[in-house]
Formats: sequence, C-alpha cells, structure tokens
Amino acid sequence: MVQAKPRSLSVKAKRLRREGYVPAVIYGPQVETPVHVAIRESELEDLFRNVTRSTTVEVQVEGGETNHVFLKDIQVDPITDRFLHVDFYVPEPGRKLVIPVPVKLVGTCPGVKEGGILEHVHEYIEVEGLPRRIPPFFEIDISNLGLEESILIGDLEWDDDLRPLHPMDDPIVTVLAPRAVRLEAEEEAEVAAEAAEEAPEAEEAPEGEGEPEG
Amino acid sequence: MSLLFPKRTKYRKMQKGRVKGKATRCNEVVFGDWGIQALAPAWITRQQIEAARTALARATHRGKVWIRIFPDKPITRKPAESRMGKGKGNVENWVAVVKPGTVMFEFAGVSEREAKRIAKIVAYKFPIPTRLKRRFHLGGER
Repeated sequence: MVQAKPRSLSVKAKRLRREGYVPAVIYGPQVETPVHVAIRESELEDLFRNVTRSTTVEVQVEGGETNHVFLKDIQVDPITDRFLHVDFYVPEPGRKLVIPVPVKLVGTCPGVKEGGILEHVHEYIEVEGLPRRIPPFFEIDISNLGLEESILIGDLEWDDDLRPLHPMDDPIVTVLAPRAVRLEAEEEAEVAAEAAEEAPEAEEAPEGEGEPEG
Repeated sequence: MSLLFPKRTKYRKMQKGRVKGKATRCNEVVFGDWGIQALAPAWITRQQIEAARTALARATHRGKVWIRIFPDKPITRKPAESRMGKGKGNVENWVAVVKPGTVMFEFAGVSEREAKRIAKIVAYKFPIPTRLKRRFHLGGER
C-alpha cells in the first residue's frame, strides 16, 4: 500500500523532487481523467524493493479512492539513479492486458556443476491475461536441469485467461554444454552421419557386381 | 582484436564540435548485469577502448563483455614544426564522443564484489571519472 497526495500541475516536478516527493500519474480505461499525484520518495523505494512489474499495488490517494494498479512505467535518472516519475495503470477487471511477468529461478542446477553454462533466455515472459490471473512472477525450479536440457514456455501451466505471447517451444532457461563437449558431440554426429551414408552404398555395391558388362 | 575504426566514411575529416548535455540514449545497462558509465564528457580514443576491453576480458575470465561505444570521429593533427595554413591536417586517430551518463561497456557473469573490483581496474583506462552501474531491476525481480 502506497500513500499518495494529489498534486497540482502548477507545482513544478523539480520542486516536488527537491521536497522529497516523486511525481506520478494514475490512469486506465476506467479512470476518466488521469490523476496526478506525488509520493514520498522513501515510500516508493520501500515499495520497489519488494514488487515486480506484474504485482498489483494499492495506491491510496489522500481524500480520494484506493486504486489497485500495475507499474506501467518507471523513469529513473541515469546518473543519480533517483526516481523521476512513475506511471500507475488501473486495469479493467474484465479486460485482458499484456504485461511482462518476471521469471525467478530456484534451486541449484546440476548441469552447471557438470560444467554447463546456464542461459536464462527469457527473464520476462510477455503474457496476455485477465488482471486477477496475472502472477507477480513465475517460479521455475532448475534443480533437475541437466546438461543440454531446457525448460520451455509450454512446460508452464496456461489457460484461456492467461496465455503467453511467445511460442510454446521457446526455452525459458537452458543449460549449454561447455564448448569442448559440444565439439565432441558434433564430431561424433558427423562420424555417425558418414557411416550412415556409406552403409547404403555398401548395400548397393553387390547388386552392381552381379550385372553382366558390355 | 585490433583497434576499432570505421570501414568506410562519407567524409574523411570532421569538425571538432562541443560535447553538451547528458546522454539521453545508451544510458542504461541493457545487455549485461553491470555497466561502466561515464560521469563526464570526453573523447574516448580507440586505444583507450581497446585497453578497457582487454582489462575487462581478463578480469571477467569467462564472463561476457559488450562494447557500447564506437570510435567514429576522425581526429586530425598538423605535422610538427609546420606553419599554420595549407589546409587541415591529416587524420591521426579515431575517437568516440561520450556524454555524461553513457554506458560505455557492459559485462556479465561475475558477482557484485568482483564487479566492483573490475570497475576499479577499468576506471584507470579512461581519462574521465566513471562508475559501476547495475542493471535496473525491481526488488521482487532479482
């Protein structure tokens, strides 16, 4: 829960920031006119320590209503790392929205212990779904992931109210074999392919021998 | 890797220009986990870029390194003891124009402690103050 106070646009954003506030705006399909607010910087920092982009946050406007919102945009000063502005989006309960949901990996990957390289392909999964069905994050257990194995987007549970916008066979996380192991495997595959090519020729050869010449 | 410079250019020589303002692009860490950010305006020469790249590659061991700047500005110089006039000098070097806030290098695959150590080593390669910048993530996403 975040406390916000309504902000008059005649007060410049720079002045607000000097006073320890961060300007923000609340909008959405159900909000007739965007509500301009100011939030204490310390409160915002505390909030951002625990939430993700797909977490529903309660914003209580002083003398107004409480909104359940998503963090639509966060502007950060690239040099000082101070928050400059925040956009809060109020979703419509029955309308689907597109949002990136972060992926958290849990467990120790045995493939990495064997020398593999853990590649986190999708740090966020873009999903389309009803607001109440959108999770704050996807937790993926990698404690059974061996060398050259992957967890695909299709391995997660999906339904009509929540579906990914990526192909189902896209890997979320994969363990790549070290280069030496990969090269060995490729060489073996080449040898096997050559052997497979030679084998049919050898089978055809005796037939040719039997034919009369001239 | 040899020193960077453009394959071909439309014009051979360029005017000096002035570096004004802060970087409004290339100011976020987007590829790796950590970035080396410039805190002052400067021309970063291709030798400095190469020195920093080598230092990063050595320090990160098997981690990944991204170079976010490219020396596309030719710098001319007149020969020593030559009189003024007789046209603009010859192209001597190539530089990247860097504004405060530009993330010049990015790297990944190291711990926070290691990253701090690496940033200190790489900082020696530049003529300007730099800082280590972490990729922006909300707390719950880490």
